[in-house]
Amino acid sequence: MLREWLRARSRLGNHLFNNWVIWPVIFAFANGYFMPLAFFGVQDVVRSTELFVGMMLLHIFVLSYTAATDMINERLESKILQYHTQATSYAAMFWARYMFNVLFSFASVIPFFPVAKLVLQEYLYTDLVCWWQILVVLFLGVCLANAYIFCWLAIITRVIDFEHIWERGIEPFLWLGGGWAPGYAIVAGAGAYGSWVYLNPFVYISDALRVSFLGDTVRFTPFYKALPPIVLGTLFFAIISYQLLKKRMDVV
Amino acid sequence: MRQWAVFKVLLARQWFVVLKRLPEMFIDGGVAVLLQVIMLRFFLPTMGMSTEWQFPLFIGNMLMLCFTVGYQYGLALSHGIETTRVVQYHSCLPLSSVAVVISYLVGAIISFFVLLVPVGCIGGWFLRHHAVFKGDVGTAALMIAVVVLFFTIAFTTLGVRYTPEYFLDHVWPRLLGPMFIFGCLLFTWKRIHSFSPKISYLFLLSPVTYCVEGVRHAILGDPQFLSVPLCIGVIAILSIGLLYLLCGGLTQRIDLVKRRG
Repeated sequence: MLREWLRARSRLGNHLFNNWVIWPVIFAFANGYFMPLAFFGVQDVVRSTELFVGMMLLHIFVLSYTAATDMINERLESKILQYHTQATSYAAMFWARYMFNVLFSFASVIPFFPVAKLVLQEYLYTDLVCWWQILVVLFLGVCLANAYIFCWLAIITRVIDFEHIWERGIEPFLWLGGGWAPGYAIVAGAGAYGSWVYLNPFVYISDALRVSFLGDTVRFTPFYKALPPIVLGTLFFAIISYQLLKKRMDVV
Repeated sequence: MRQWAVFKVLLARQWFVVLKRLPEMFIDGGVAVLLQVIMLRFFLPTMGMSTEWQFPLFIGNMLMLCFTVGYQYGLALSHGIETTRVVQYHSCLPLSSVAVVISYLVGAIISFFVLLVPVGCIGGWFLRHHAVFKGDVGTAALMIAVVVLFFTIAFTTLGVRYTPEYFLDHVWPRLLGPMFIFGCLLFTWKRIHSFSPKISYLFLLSPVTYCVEGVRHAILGDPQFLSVPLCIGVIAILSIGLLYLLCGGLTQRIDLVKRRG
């Protein structure tokens, strides 16, 4: 993990500025103010917050995807992963990278909502917000997203295939996971197949974030009910990615 | 004559590359468009979004696809300059650097067109019920051609001028992100102007606003969108400026030295 930190440290300033300042500000303006205004016609603070909060899922995916870019190059081009597996052990190599990506991504997303609140002021509904719940969901969210991306890292065999992951592997889970329309809207709009959306573990992240902001346990999955699917999803993807990558790298 | 022969071979190479990647690009584009159509047609209206916004927002989503495709193309080009060095090899051929740039642009334009036009038509067909098409086919084709040219030149310039690390760290969050967010992709300019006139002029600083509003006006023929001549004019001027940056950027990035004459 020290090695990962030393590698990330050279770009830390830019990374922090982008994720602590730029992204929260522009997301807040576009998705927290203008988009709800344009969609719904009136300044409905609760609906604006409902729409904006889901964007955190996009931010988590972007962070995980970007972090994975370095790792795919290390696996397929420079073969540093293979070298580290030989020098230490496969488990050490895998978990060091996974844990570092999770902690780094988590540190990157923590200021998102506080900065957005500074920008949006009363347009971000925080009367019922529970900040500790948001922290828990963000941590579990980055765990799940990174475990899922690691699966793709294990599956692809060429660097050029990495560019397909976003459209084929991430966007379906993102947009059908409450990134824009929440779970209840998907259920209402999709008719008989709507309830299948709750097979997507990412929808519980967006629902848990929304319920932590708005306190509405009727439209959104309650916080304590949302956690187990997220944890189970994380374990599932982490184990799959561990075994797949081990097989792909032909570790003996 | 020799230069023209080499140029033709480069163009053939670009066409071959596009053909090889076409099935993958269609799958990517198809997935993206399908999700957007489902979102706009079935899910967002249940939240209270008016159905009159479906088609204008779909056009915005097609330009979002341009961003995604263009970003990956630019990153791959930048990565290719660092690793495979095919661009350096092409630049050393008995051909002017401008001709090399044009060959890459042609390849990218073909990629954009063969992806966007079919998936755009398919997606638009699913959303046709709540849209009124008063636009002109010729104007729409011209506007789309100008927009594709702009995106091609923009992302080729970015790919040529910046290293992959710089691309990942700076280009999306500090340049493309604000252009994207303040580019009226997720709403119309007139809508923002009706709520907040002063802030709406801020959106006119993003070239993407002119791209999306021009396409909306050309296809839907609704005067609430920015006029097509204004959009084409602004995009053309920006494209010329970017082209100048592109040619200079290529020479600088690969440290190209060519014998005169």
